[in-house]
Amino acid sequence: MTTRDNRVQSLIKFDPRRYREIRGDEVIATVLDVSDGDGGHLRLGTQIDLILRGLQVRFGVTGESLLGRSLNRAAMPGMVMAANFGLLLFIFGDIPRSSWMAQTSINRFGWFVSIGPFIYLVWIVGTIAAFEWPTLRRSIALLCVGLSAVAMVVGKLNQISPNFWQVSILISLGMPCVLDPVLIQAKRRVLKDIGVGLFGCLALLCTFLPDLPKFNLGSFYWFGTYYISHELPRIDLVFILIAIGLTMIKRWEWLGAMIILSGPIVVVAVIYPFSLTWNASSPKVALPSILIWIFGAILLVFKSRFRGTSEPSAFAGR
Amino acid sequence: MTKEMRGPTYLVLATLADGRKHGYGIIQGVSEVSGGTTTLKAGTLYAMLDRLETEGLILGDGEEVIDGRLRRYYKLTPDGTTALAEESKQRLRVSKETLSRLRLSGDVA
Repeated sequence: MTTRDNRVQSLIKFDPRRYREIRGDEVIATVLDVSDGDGGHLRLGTQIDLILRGLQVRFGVTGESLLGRSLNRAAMPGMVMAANFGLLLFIFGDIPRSSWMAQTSINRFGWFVSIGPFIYLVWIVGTIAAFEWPTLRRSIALLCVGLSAVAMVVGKLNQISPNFWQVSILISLGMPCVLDPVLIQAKRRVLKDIGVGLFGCLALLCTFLPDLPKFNLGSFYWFGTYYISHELPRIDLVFILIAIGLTMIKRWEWLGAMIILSGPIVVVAVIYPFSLTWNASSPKVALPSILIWIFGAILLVFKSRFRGTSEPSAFAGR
Repeated sequence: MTKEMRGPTYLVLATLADGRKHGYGIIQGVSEVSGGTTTLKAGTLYAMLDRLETEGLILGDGEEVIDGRLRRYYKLTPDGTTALAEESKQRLRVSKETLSRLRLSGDVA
């Protein structure tokens, strides 16, 4: 066996075992045929393509799996939620609300407390661009994630970093769009995507209703994550009601999308109190919330595992 | 078939229109049919073959080992043939209409 053959064999190992049993020898033969056609050269693009495909099948992130279809449903609503969350943070996040706040900020990013407004603007513009150029939405979402990460580092170095947890939520809401295996949609769902995204935002906003009078310019930067954590019981209630509704009408892909999009909120709400130096107790529902979410996520991944029904080749392994 | 067919999917089905082919044969066929503008990578091809098999548009049609390499052949199912024919007619209609509009505007002889 040549080095090239060994390389292809090792690339195939990214596929799940069952997939390898069914397709492995055939894929290897095709890759070697392609390589022969290229004068024995195994292109880097081919290798990356094989690895990505293997990982997609392994984690069930394919256009046919429940996880893949759920990511597809969650992709643009996630961007809409990120844009709206960005807008909320833009208005209530980083504007110094008092002379005290302005004085306590050592450095400033223009009029703002942190570099956050740049990140929020990236997500707002990115979401509009993703709707305008749907085939580029994965690259656009990836750009938003990358710019947010770079801005966080720049902010940290210059002591103008935005609220880490809030930016984490933004990035997490954009991830379904990055991971969505379906790049070209047969049917565009602009209104539905915007509607679902707005519904998600409104549903979450409703949980903040009792806290709304406390909101003023700049307050979300300081207290927003605390509110998210504090209102976890209401947030849970909203998610549970939506989940029951989706289960009753058997919209499994949308239920999967809800699990994906609720992840950032639930995880941040549960973890945030542990990051505080002062004694902030976690909400009583924290443990059950995270356990239920993890159970839902595991179920989603488990349901999406590759279960090839075809039989392995009679020649396999020869 | 009510679903709009994506370009690469159409090319794979078009490649199988004149008979069964194995993986590398499909990659070569797609390149020929598209006039060299589309080159499928193996990973992408098998993602597509998995999907088309699930949708019942193609099916495996025997296999053989040549020079120690396993080749599995694929062919169109009756549903696949119908879907390909409908999509081809639709694309032809659109192309004809486009050309006639261009002729009307005098941009094409």
